[in-house]
Amino acid sequence: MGAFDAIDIARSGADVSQLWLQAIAHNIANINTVRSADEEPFRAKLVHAEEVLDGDGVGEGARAVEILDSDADPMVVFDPDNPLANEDGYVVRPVVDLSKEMTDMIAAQRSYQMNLQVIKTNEETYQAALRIGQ
Amino acid sequence: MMLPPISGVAGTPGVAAAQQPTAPTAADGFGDKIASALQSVSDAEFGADSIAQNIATGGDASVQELMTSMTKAQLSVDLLVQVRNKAIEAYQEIMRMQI
Repeated sequence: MGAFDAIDIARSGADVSQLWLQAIAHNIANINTVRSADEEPFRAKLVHAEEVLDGDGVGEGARAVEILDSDADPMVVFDPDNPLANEDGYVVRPVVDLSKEMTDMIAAQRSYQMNLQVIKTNEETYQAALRIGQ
Repeated sequence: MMLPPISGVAGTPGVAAAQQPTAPTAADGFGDKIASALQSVSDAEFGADSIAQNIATGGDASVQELMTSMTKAQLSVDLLVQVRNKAIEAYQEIMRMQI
């Protein structure tokens, strides 16, 4: 156990939050990615985070283990003029819920800020300890 | 007219490889301990520098990684300075002693 463990743990949380923000950016960027109904639609990317356990002490933070695709049902739209449409005239809309992405973005931003606040508090604590005896 | 292509910056010296701090032994004096601590502080600074270089050259290091390493290096320096201040204070206290 080192002196800066809490800072490293909080940083691991900030890393996960940053990856989450990246996934949200990717999902929103693909809000117009229409494909032929014969193809697999674009599916929103979800970050699967997991705790990192330490043998003896408390944990060592969080890490992203994998990126998953959303399981929601795709919306198939009749659009025969679309050059991407299949023989029956259908295209498939991306599986992205914009309102969910926007609320997730708030949560991801707050999560990042929380971890930075933990780092800041730790730094202040450490500096308070350095003032002992002064 | 042919313009010569922009060539990469050549011969940029990399960050010198940080040396491993030697494990203090029982025979080590205060000077050796301070030297060993200086070495670890220097390692922390080198680590932060290499991350800063990575970010400045478009590497994949994150800003939080840079800022946390810089914070850790800064706190290590603060700790070392405090230890030095205490040691010098003690030394001066002894030197002022009336015999």
